[in-house]
Amino acid sequence: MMPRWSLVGLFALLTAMWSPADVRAAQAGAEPPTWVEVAPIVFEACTPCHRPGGPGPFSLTTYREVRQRARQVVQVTRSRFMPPWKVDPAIGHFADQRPLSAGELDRLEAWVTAGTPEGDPAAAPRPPTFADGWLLGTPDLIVTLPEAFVLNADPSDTFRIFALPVPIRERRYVRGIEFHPGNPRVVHHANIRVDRTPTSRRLDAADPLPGYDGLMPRTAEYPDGHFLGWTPGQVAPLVSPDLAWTLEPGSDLVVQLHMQPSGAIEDVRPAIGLYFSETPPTRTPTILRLGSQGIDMAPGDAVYTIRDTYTLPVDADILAIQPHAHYRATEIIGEATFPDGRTQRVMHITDWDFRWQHVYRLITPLSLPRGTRLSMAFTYNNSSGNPRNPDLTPTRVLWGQRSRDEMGDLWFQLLARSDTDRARLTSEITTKMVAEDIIGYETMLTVTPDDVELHDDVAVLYLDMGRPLDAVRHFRASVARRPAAAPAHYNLGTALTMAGQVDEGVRELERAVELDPQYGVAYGNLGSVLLQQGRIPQAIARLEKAVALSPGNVEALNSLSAAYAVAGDTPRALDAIDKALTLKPPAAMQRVLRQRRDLLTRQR
Amino acid sequence: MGPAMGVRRRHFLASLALPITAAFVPVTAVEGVIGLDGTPVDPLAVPQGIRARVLVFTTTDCPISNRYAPELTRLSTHYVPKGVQFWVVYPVASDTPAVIRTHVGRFGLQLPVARDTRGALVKHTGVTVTPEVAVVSASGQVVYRGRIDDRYTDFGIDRPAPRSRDLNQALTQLLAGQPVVPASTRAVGCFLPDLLK
Repeated sequence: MMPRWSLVGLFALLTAMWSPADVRAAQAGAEPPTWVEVAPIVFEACTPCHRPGGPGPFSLTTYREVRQRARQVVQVTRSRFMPPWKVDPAIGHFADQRPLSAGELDRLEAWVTAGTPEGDPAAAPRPPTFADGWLLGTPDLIVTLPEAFVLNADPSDTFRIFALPVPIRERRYVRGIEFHPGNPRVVHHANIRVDRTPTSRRLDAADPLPGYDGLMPRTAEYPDGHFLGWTPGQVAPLVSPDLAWTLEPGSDLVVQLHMQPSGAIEDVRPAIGLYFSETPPTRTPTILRLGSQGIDMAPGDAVYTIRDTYTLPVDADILAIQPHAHYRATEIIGEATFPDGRTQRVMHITDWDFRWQHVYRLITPLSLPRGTRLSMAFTYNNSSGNPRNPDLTPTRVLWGQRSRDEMGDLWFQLLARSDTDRARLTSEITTKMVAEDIIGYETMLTVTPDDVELHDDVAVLYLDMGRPLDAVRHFRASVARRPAAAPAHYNLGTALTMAGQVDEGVRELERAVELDPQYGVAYGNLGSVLLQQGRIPQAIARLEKAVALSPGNVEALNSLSAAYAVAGDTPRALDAIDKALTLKPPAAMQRVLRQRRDLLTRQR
Repeated sequence: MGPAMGVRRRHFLASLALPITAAFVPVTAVEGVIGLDGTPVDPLAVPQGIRARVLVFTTTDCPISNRYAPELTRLSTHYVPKGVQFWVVYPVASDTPAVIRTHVGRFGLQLPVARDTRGALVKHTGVTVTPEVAVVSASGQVVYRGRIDDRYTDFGIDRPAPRSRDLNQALTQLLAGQPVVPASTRAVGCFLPDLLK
């Protein structure tokens, strides 16, 4: 490629005919660039990370520092490894985008070829200054690990999940977070979710060291349609208060760290600053995930492609896009095909690198009319010709969340125009994503058919999808592998009942309470089924036991009141109704309970 | 470990410039190559009983170099009992004795250290990046120069494990009395000519 300054020189020759003064000026421009001309490029593209205290491994803030890395700077900018920006610059404008133009790359190279001349030190621009600490301002709340995680020195990528409790007493609305890696030498990216249940906390607590190895549970979610995550150099700006997300007391921030050991033993203690809004949000985005969980690559397959599409049922704007794949992916394509047939690339990465998983936030949201088809195509190279292939000897690779498996997701953050539109979009998308999740579980189970947790999880999804027979199939598999576990029989019994196989369901529930005589919810479900079968005395006995074991079991109280009513024991029925109502059950159940109370009172 | 003092070298270029006065000037060590205490050391000399020396060129702030610290410990643990000496060589001026002491402590490098303050060892071995190694045979010849292994194929691209452990292979061949093949490989890391400016 011709360096830019020689083009300037050519221009100078052409203009020489007209004005000798122009020639002198332009010839001066044909000199190789000095630090004076190169510094602005470095300060804009490199220094934000490569500075004292920044996430880059060394500083590029002065002439001397840059000169000492000059060849490396040229090599990594030419190869587009740095600055780390994977998206084709033709795609669009995203936050934090700092692509170097061909002219800038040429200027850097010309400077190095010329021997990194300094030029006039007095004319050199001053390095930019960066605020220490929190770039988004002082956070309203900072959560951090109680004690540091100690990372080994050895040089293979390490993943660790931490559940950070959020000490709030009331619901808060969050405009954004700022993630501090705690040790930028080793923390390469962070995947952050919110778990409103204690599931993640229990997984963390079960491991004696800080955090745990493994997978994030399904209960760790993106909150209210917002991506959370961090890669070096990215700070997601605060969203406007009307788009804030809700953080409930008792929630945990769940942080999965991808770490690259440094060669030394390192302490890692990340911190997250939270920024609150005083007012509740008025609009909530929806997250759409396109992708395939049926990935099954043959060893050595150098071109393996997955595709997925979804047609929008309502108008929506794209706010942000996040591609996700593991090591073997090479090309990432996302497209929007408008109702008029026009197709626009919205994401294109030709050199996918698992280590740079940005969230790409559009500077200007892209409006998509109803009927727009969003599509994705990811290509993988599972041959030994792919230096990033984690298998030195390529092997069959299936979908899975562990880094040795493969994934292929293109996530879109969409904002519908109204609550009605959002409800429709969210409901459709959830159905689509759960169907794909089920494929993922079935894929994983072909590899590890004895994993009872996978059987249980996918069975619950089948129940959500209204497919109880498939749920029964997986719960049976779970029971077969742990026949002495009361919860396995409880699950199977409940699913059998939902599938209409009530007699067998009762037998399984009886087995559950036989194995665990303190199993309150099992007594509750058993009692409710017996009530449906008209076996009233047996139902009352089980339901009384259920309520005695867990007085807060509102479903059992509801069934018990019905059973008493059928048995003609009005005082006990009314008593159970009152107890149930004080527990503030869901509106539908409240209605049923009040109707029953009115009926019983009138009968009196 | 103490430096090998006063051992005559035969294969160092700088010494060839002093043939006449050599008889009168006591040969100490390679020009500008000193230990952490400032006394001259000579990583090129191969004393009696030592079958080879490995010079590992490094800098304290090169991330790729640092990630090799555990592998260097593994290799040296294996080869030191077989008569191979490992030296960690710091050629960059900003790596002062204090900085180096912190570095070897952090990365657990329990190996003899040399500061190549005038780039003599860099020039003699022909290394161009860090980390890069030179293997010196018992006869004082550089028989291998290049990468430790092929884990890194470029900046930001590294395999989960090396396919070719080149330094290990070179030492195995040398100790078996075989020719070292290949005698050089391309190392990936931080460019020394820039760092030495």
